[in-house]
Amino acid sequence: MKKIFPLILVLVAIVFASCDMVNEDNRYIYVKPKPIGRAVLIEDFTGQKCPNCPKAHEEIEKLQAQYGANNVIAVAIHSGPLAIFPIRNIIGLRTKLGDEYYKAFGVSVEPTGMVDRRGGILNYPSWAGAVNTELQRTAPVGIKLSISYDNTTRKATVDVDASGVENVAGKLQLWIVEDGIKCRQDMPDGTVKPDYVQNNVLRAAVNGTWGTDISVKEGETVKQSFTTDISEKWNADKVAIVAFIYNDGGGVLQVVRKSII
Amino acid sequence: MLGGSFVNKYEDDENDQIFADATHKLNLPQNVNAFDARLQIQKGGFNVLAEYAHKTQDPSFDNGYIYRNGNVAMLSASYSKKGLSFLVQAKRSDNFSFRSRRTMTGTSSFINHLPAFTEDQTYALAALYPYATHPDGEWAYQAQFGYNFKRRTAIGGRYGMNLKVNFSHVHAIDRTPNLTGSVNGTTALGTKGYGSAFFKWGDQTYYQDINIQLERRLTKSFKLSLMYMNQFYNKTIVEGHGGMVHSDIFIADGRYTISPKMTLRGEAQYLATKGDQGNWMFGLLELSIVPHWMFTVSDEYNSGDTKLHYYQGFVTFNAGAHRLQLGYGRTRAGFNCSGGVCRYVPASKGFTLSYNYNF
Repeated sequence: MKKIFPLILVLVAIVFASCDMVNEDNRYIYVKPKPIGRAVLIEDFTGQKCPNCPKAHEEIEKLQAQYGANNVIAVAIHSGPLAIFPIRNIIGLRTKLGDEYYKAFGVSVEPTGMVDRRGGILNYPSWAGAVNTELQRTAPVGIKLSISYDNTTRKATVDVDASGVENVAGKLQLWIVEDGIKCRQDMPDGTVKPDYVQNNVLRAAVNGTWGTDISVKEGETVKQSFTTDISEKWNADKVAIVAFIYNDGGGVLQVVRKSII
Repeated sequence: MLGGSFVNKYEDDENDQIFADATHKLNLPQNVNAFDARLQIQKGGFNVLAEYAHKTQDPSFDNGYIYRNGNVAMLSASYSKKGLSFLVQAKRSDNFSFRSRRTMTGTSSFINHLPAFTEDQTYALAALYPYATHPDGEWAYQAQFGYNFKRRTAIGGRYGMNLKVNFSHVHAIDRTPNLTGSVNGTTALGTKGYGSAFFKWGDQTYYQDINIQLERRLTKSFKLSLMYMNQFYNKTIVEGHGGMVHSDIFIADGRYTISPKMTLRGEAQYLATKGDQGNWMFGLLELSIVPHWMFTVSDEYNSGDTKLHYYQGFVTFNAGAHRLQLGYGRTRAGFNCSGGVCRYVPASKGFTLSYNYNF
């Protein structure tokens, strides 16, 4: 018995090792598409010196292609030590606003992100699953944006209509984002791409870092109006407003995005 | 000697929804099993060790959620006798990142340990670019030779001389994409990911170094160690950025016995490279007063890009198994993009206090 005991152990190990093998035919589980109940916000903490970050950008593009850019709304928050502030001739996308969010949400690595501010900080392969789950939730509030932009004064007026499907209390947050910014980006293969196209870049907050209070009753519509400056450094044709309502218990309740032109 | 081990990891997949496309999520195995078998033969001064480890399907963030099995094979042979030692070893690892959580990133939560086949360096500039094993897979080779020239010989001199030579080389393994069974024909998620011919190399060198160390007592109270190292460090592979850094490193380490209770040691180091932050210099002085005290001052200076000094001073007290150290100094900033994410380590300046106890 003493002599064959090691052999028995080896045989048991081999049996265990073959137990949980997933055959090629069983590697995917079909998930029936359900009606989309709302839009989803992805906050992508990113940086121009972060070589892995383009992979997260690709993941966002993939999700927007799958579900529609109106249903998956992303904001690239350039922040932390791997992002670059604007310096002389260098186009830097880092902002103090982004750094505030980076610190407040306890971000320590990039790329990472949040999906509807639920489920904590997630790495990008987990975004698809979180987006799929969030899209099936019903939004308790609807948001409609009307924007008028004066190119002479470079001022945009944003009218927000929030319609209550249920009673909702929380914060209304408006962000200015810009697409199509060509600037340097460290790439996963170790090179630096000088004309990488950055999209969904967070530029500024319209109504403060954490937004303004909003309370909407079921069946009612609450209107709020804001005026903001569009910097001359930004391409107004590529600028949009992202508006979302969130609270501590429910995360992001609904989100919309609309171009200013 | 025959040895073996077995490890099972159970992780449910309720909270891990990994989608390959909009309507297909991965069927993740909840049990990952790994086993290891090793054979060691020893006769006289000869020692041969062969080891093989295998891991079952473990789709994870590290490997891009593929279903390829992982394995490691290692062969090591050594010979030693008084005054002479020789070691050669080779290792091939393939998809052997084994963490306690499949979605984990960064440098934590590893169940297994994959030793780097590179010599651990204690000199500051020789350790400036330390290689870390690439969990995705690599071929690693190491050869080490040590010889002691006897005293009162032509080369050994009055007191003898010690020679040590080390060569390490780490290379990529062959990878041929294999997307058979992919849900949409383009994503690797849910497939085996790639095929890999066992003996074939990939196209990238990850690391190489050759270093030669000489240690010789010149007088009764003075001992000198010299080291030269030629190093290739693929910073893109190890840290996610920076390209290949090729360095020449020169080190001199002298130890002077002032009295039976007092020893003064000094180091001078120089690293020459055209890559990364350029050249570095390092100097250190250490005074030991037996049996309890040690005083150390050092400065690491980047004479290349930054022109910054990283100075440090320590006072160390030893008593039996206890060791207490108080220090003040400045450490470098940097960021490391291993494990799929990038982590920034800020520069720091200030006091440190540490305590060690040997059980």
